[in-house]
Amino acid sequence: MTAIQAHFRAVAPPVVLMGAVLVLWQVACWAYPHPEPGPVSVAATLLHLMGKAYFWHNAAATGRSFLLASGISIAVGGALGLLIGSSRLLSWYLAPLLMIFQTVPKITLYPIVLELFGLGMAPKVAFGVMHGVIPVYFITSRLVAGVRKVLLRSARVMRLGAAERFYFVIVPAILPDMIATLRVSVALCLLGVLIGEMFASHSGLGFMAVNAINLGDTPVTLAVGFFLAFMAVGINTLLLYCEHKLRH
Amino acid sequence: MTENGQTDVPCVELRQVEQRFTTRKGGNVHALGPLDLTLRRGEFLSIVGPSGCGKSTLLDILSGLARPAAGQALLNGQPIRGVPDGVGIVFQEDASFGWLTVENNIAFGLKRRGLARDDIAARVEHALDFMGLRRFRTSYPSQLSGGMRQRVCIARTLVMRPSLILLDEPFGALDQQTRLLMGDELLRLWRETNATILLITHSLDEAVMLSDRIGVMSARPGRLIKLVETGWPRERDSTVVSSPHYGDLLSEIWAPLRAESNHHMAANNA
Repeated sequence: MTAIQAHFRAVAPPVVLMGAVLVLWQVACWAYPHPEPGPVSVAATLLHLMGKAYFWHNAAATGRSFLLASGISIAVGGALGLLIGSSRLLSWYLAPLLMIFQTVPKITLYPIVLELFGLGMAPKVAFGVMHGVIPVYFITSRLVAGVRKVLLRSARVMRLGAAERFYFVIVPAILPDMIATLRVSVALCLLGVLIGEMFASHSGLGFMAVNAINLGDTPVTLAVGFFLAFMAVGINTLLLYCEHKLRH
Repeated sequence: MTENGQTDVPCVELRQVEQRFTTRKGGNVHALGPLDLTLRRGEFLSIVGPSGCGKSTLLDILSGLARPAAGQALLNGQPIRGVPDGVGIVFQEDASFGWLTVENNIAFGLKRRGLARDDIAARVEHALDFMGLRRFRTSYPSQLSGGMRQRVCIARTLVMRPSLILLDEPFGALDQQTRLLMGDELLRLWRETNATILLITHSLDEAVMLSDRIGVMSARPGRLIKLVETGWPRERDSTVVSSPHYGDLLSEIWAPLRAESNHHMAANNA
């Protein structure tokens, strides 16, 4: 099997599954006619929206917040995971606190976020980070703690110091699984950003979807949903490709 | 130097070495010793003993990964503190780095030590040839068999040119046929590098076939209860298994080991 075939095999299943769901949905619409639009009609609405500047303005607002929230979640969650996963002392003190924070429903904290950051991009990013950072931390710390001891012992016998073992052994050992973690965490970041846009924002795809719901404009609501679903599948597929590339 | 390629100069000396561990429940486990052992420079010595007798603990002390609770461990006359220079270790578990190709695995320690690029390339080329890995230089460990991966680990240790090679059941996960062949390769490696080798093994066959001397350890806390000279010539290979002397040696180390293993099992069942 060539490398391209192997990568295709890795990324094809989610794409095929999504296509199958759309086909089934459309067939159901034809078989049982009802007022709600089917995928073909939603796609037509989406194409129409994509010709409008305000759609791209909102998509860009969501994209910026999402990228920033994902970047912060990965950097902060990853750093916390690497530190706490490799230190029993830090794990004793910090791990329980972080897990308690994860059990709190984030939506209950949104008024505090608004109080702290006001309206605009900052609260959306903060809310996205609140959703994404703990899963990144948690999985990274588990991965670090799970690095096979024999690899670390080998590195010690080769007289690598703690920093070298960290950089040359721990990080590359966990990297493929880290990418798998990112697939989960960026989806949560996107969710956080969209919820933020839905509750208190003047721009973004979440804001656009809520407006359409309030106006009873189902085709636009679903078209935005379609666009977000394609974005999510696209990002997931890209990360799956990277993960597959890193696993030898 | 003797006709066996050894010298009388001690490479490793263990004087009344003991190791104890504290369990999670606060108990105290006496794992090893007191143990006295001298490993001569250029010698191939194997250690056999019942499970849990402290063989791997002994290796940890010699490689500087652990400090003895009592006694003294010396390498070339100097106390072992931290991982000493000139010691290489091959573990039973696969320790190859899965994210690196075979050649980058072999070069890993050399690069970290900051050797010149030409020197690294020359040593890696030699190791690839020596261990029969040339065809697999760009392969990743996951694309290799268990035996080939162990060769990569041995090659990675060899390129560092250690004067003392510690082997912790390196062929434990391999089938009998591969073990015999790897044993031949190990003997060739030992002859060509003039290194001192300490092999920890469960396999009596392996110990008898490969070693100049075999140390038999007691059940925990592991003490040396017998040292057997095999008398094999330096130029030897796996064909020694058909020699009548091979069976005699096997019996000689099995007798005390059998008693110890029975004692260990009885203690576990009590």
